Amino acid sequence: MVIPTPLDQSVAAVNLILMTNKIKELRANHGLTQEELARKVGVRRETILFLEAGKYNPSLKLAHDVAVALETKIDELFQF
Amino acid sequence: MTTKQFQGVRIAVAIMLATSVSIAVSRGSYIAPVIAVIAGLIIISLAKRQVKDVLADERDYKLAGTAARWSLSIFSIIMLIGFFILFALKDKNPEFANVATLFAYLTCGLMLLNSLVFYFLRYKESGDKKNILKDFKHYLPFLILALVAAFIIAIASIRMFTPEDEWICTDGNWVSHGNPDAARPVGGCR
Repeated sequence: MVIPTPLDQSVAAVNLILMTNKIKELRANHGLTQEELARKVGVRRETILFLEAGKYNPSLKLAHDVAVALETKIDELFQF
Repeated sequence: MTTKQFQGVRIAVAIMLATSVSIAVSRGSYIAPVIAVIAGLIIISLAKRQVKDVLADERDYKLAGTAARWSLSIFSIIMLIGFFILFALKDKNPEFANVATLFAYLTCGLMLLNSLVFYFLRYKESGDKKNILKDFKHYLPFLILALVAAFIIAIASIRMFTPEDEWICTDGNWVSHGNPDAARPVGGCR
């Protein structure tokens, strides 16, 4: 039987936590619509909607692409 | 082409397929649906290339993975319940036992296929292929043991659950083998 280590447990806990973010605020500052941002980063508009609502944790690549599109850094865009 | 137009093309292809299948059923010709499926695949493939919007992104792929896992679990549970119900009712109709066995093998086959695809993808995506091969060599004896056990169980099941008393068709006549419970079948023996 495999006993989960404290590291495994913390990884599992992090996966359940959804990040908060400033995407909506920064998108408004850049005068972009959800559709335009979605097209810039290569996802569907619904994904931007879920990202802004904090209901979806993006991959590192998508987080990077959104940060680049909004001219900011990942750690400034997303907070745990 | 926009996403909505592409959805329209997909609906049109689905209608075309449904029409061709209904024609095939009513006329007994199965060439039309085969041609329709090939034509449909070509049309969808060409239409997809014309779409400039994103049709599916990482969130869709993640959801698709979850949906596949759920589907596998739901399918396995339904097949397992079906297996037990049909096996319990095999006295009412001996054919139920065959269907129950088919359910069991379908579930095992799907799980095996899922594991093989998973290990194939892991092997394909991993940069550390040597270690995965080492892992495989470690599990190989257990895999062989499991296959041998499955073979023995399959043979034992056939021997145990196949009725020995039955009607056998010999030279155009139904001849009793042992003392079958069922009445002599009418026709079907040539």
